[in-house]
Formats: sequence, C-alpha cells, structure tokens
Amino acid sequence: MRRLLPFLVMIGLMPCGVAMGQSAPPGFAFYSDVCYNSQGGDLLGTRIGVMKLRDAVYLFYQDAEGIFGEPQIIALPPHALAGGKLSFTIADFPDPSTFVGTISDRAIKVRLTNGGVGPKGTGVFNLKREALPEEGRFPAC
Amino acid sequence: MLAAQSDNIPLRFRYAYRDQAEQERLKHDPSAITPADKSLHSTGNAVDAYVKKLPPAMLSKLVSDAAAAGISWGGLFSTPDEPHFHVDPGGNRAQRINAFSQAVQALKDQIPGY
Repeated sequence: MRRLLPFLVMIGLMPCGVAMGQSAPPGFAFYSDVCYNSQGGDLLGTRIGVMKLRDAVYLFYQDAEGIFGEPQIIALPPHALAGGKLSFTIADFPDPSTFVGTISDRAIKVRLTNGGVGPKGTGVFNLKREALPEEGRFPAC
Repeated sequence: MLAAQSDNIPLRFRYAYRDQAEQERLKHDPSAITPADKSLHSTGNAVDAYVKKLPPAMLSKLVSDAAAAGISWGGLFSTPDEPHFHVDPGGNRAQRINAFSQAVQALKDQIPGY
C-alpha cells in the first residue's frame, strides 16, 4: 500500500471533471475486470489506472491470479495513447510481458504479445472503465 | 512439477495456503454463492499458479500433467478459475479447514516471534 501512496495522492489531486462519452481516455481513468471466484476462492483479473500528465502517461498495472500480484507503475511517452492505441511492457515472470491493444474512455482491450491466456483464460484482457473501487470489494466472477 | 519442468513449462506459484481470516478479506463479496471459508486454499490443498503468460497449448499440457498427478484444475469449474489447481480430499471441508487451521497455528506457536 505504501508503494501506491504517491500514486493515490496524485489521483486525489486531479481535477474531478472526468468527461464521459468521448473516445479518448480522460486525464485519469481506472479500468478493471477483477472479480472473485467463489468456487476456487480466488481473485481473478487485471486492473489498470492511466493518468496523463504533461511529461508522461503513467500507467498503474496489477493483476490477480488468486491474489493480487505486485503493483507496477510505468511511464509511457506523453503521446503514447494517440489514436486510441495502447502498448506497454511490465516486469513479469519468467520475462517481461508486452501488451498491445486499444484504450478508450470506456474500456481497455489488450492482448499479450506472446499469446498468453491471461488470468481469465480468454487471451483477451477486456477491462471496463470503473470508478475507483472500494478496497476489498469485488463482484462475483 | 517435474513433468511441467520436463515439458519446459515455466511454473511458479503465486499462492497456496490462506487462513480463514485472509480468505474472508479476499472475498468481501456478499453476492458470492459459496462461502469463502470453504475454499481448498484454507485446507492446504490448493495452489494458484502463474498461468496468464502460458499460450493455450502450454496450459493444456500443464493441465494434463497435473491431471496425471491427480491434481484437478480450476479451469473446469462452472465458473473457470484458470490459475487454480487442487486436490480435493473429500469429507467435511469445514472440519478439515478447522483441523488444518489449528495445525498451522500450532506450528506458528512453535516459532519464536512469529
């Protein structure tokens, strides 16, 4: 949690005027498909936060395969989201993972470039935009 | 694990045992059908593997290797849980959870400063 604190503080300082209904992602947006699988007792899915600042686009990434893994914050070039394209690389096991796909004000749709199945086994990471979640509350899968 | 290794499947586990308190924190979902305290993670019979990067053919091989070792895959649940692998010992799960929790606590009590 301590590692996330600067990011959360920055979010709190952002203007609240998040425009909806436009294709481009707003200044800050949070996307998630995380759910709780009651049969296995596991959290599954991925959550991504995107914040556009003048110097860079900051992307928060965290996935859950049972429980949440280590959160990561990476910086992308300022125009990384131009044209609704999204591409980023995270540190991962056994080697870095690269995601490619699209981003809009409503959803992120990405795939792993190595053809991985993803936490939900579909191969597609389809994250819908959400309000920042109340900690520890997730919908049923 | 040896079978996965011989098949060149990169295998690592994210989590195994979760006590009931942790399972309840994880769940926190009033709409879930099965109570979280019935999870096989709380009996020490389930693990969660890193599977998201596995291509489908490699995941299939991992699942068949696990099945050959008597390990079931959560991807076959009615609501699939791909990272989840378990051995269900049967019997009364609530009793097993209580017994395992007590055994874990007894072990913790033997570790100074735990």
